[in-house]
Amino acid sequence: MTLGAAALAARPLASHLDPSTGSGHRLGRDSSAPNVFVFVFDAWCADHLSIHGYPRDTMPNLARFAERAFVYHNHIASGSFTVPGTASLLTGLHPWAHRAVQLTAGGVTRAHKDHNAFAAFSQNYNTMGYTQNPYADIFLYQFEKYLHTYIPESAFNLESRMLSSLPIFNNDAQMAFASIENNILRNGKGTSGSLYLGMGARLDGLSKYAKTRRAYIGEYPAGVPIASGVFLLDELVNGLGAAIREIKAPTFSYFHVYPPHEPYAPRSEFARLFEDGWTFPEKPVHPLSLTLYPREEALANRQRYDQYLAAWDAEFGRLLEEMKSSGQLETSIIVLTSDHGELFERGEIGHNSFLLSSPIVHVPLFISLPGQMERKDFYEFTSAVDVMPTLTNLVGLEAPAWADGRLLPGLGGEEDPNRSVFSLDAKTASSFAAFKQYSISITRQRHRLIRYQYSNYEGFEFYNLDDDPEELKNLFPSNPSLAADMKGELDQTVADFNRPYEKKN
Amino acid sequence: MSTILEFFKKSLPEKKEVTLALAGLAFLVFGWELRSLFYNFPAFALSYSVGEIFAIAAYMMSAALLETAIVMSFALFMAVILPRKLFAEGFSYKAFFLFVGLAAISIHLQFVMNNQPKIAFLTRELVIGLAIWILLSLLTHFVPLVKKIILDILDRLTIFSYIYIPLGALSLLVVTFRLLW
Repeated sequence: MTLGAAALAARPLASHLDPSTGSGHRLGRDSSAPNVFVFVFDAWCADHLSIHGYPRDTMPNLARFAERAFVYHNHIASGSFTVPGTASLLTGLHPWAHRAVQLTAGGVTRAHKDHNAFAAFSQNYNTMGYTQNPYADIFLYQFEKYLHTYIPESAFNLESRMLSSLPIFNNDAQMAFASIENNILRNGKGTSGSLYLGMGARLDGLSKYAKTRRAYIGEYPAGVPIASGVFLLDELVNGLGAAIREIKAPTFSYFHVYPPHEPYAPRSEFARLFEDGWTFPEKPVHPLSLTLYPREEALANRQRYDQYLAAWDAEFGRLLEEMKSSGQLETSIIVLTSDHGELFERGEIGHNSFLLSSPIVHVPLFISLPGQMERKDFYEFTSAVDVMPTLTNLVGLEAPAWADGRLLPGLGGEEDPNRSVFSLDAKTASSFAAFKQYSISITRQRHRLIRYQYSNYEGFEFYNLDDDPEELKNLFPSNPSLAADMKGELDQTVADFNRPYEKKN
Repeated sequence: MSTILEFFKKSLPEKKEVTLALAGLAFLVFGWELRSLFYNFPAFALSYSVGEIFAIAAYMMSAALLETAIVMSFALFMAVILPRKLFAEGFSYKAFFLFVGLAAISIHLQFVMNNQPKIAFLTRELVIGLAIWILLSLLTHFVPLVKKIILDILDRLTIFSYIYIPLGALSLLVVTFRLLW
């Protein structure tokens, strides 16, 4: 599959038409400036990488890339699922500021709709956005006036199930997407607005998936990868490679791909890997666990996830070779990270969870600079909100005043053990009001405090991450002074972000 | 041609029965669509303008109108092809029970099924739905009080179709304009 110019410009965007917003790229850009590539691998947990101490060698090509990159060993996502995680990555804002916290959120709050990476880059760079995840695509729609090139989320899929991408909706694509895919005929979790056709469409989709799965059973014995539509790992990378080949410097590109998000679908040559008998430390089922999966199932899914990581790594290796041969690898800023991690413990599998245990927020971050030949490791905690301001700083743009993040260590910033890093899950909270039910964590001084605030469960967990990286021993009941101090900071943070909404009530 | 028309005229349920069934169907379809709209409203309000929220509402109401028309056509088709006594007679409550049953199955499936369709599971749902439909239809047919209550409910739901159907038509017009211009 090749990606032609037509696919790259499949949907004309406002920026092409409005000279006041995005046409700076026609005014003459510094073509010697480096391209910036941000690759987001969805649901990619740092705990599963040998470079961070995992016993299975899941991603050897990544390890090769890391030898010429800045490696952030303790990088924390701001949310535990795509909507808040992606919003924080793209805006440099904490979830309580951008307020994209619900599973079906319509995007970031209007106050921040112009505060995003594409806006920051668009005056001096061409901007390109692609995501396979429809929930992340919401943000590309919302920020479209700063996007010079948008690649539809189904561009590299075997099929498109998106009605809103039909030509009839060309004049009103964003509203059609928000209405049809996000409400009327939902394909993922949650109910469709359409009482009968919604179910019919879902059954039709599942039936088609079953057929495709049978067709590719030899190549993908555990099932074919599927996001909003079925795709093949090699076709996805071929598509990305074609898109990258067409990029003209300087371009800021955001590529958010679905692997290793579930369903975990390794190719056949990886589907027997890691049958090593290795088991993960047993952890008690959490009171907030939604699914109460037995340990055996968690172990089996963990192994499948690791196999999928290995399969994706092989394709990623091909992409690296492609970028190397086109010269992009040596001359560009390349960022690899994720919107959130993945859980296989405490009764949970995946990331549809209220928990904020380490694996769901501990995500990889690798940044490679043009001409970089050696690896640099950083072990202090960093946040997803740091990525965007760091990138603007790297290319000499003014740091966005709105961003909550700071410059990453080694790239303009310093390692700071006293820095507080936050993650928040408030998927059941009202966007209008103060957050009453949420999970929030604060990490600093090598310790982590998690607060769970729900009507059916309230509790604090406090872990020493040096002595207890698996978060097995909750130190909060023994009331250490650092826990009290961090609880004070957490309480103050919650009070601060809730205050404007409590005044309104 | 006249024979076909004559056949349809004979086979179709009475107008009054169709109106009552339509009222029940519109109530279910538009009600569920509105529930979805209001459920997502807080998120929309954060990131969309008032005009855009109205546009989304227009899309949803248009979809509800089209869905009502499609499902109603399906029910009328069933009435035509099935023996008259089985479906066309007492069409209002029999069709309404069918709509409620299918809606219950649809909602249940959307909550529990997020993987591959399991034929046995779907069959079980349909068999249970069919059994309940037969039971309710027989109950309504043979117990006058139940029949009166059901028909009274459908009669009162008619008022909603006077709101929903024009709302759907207006929304369809809005969406058509948005797509064309």
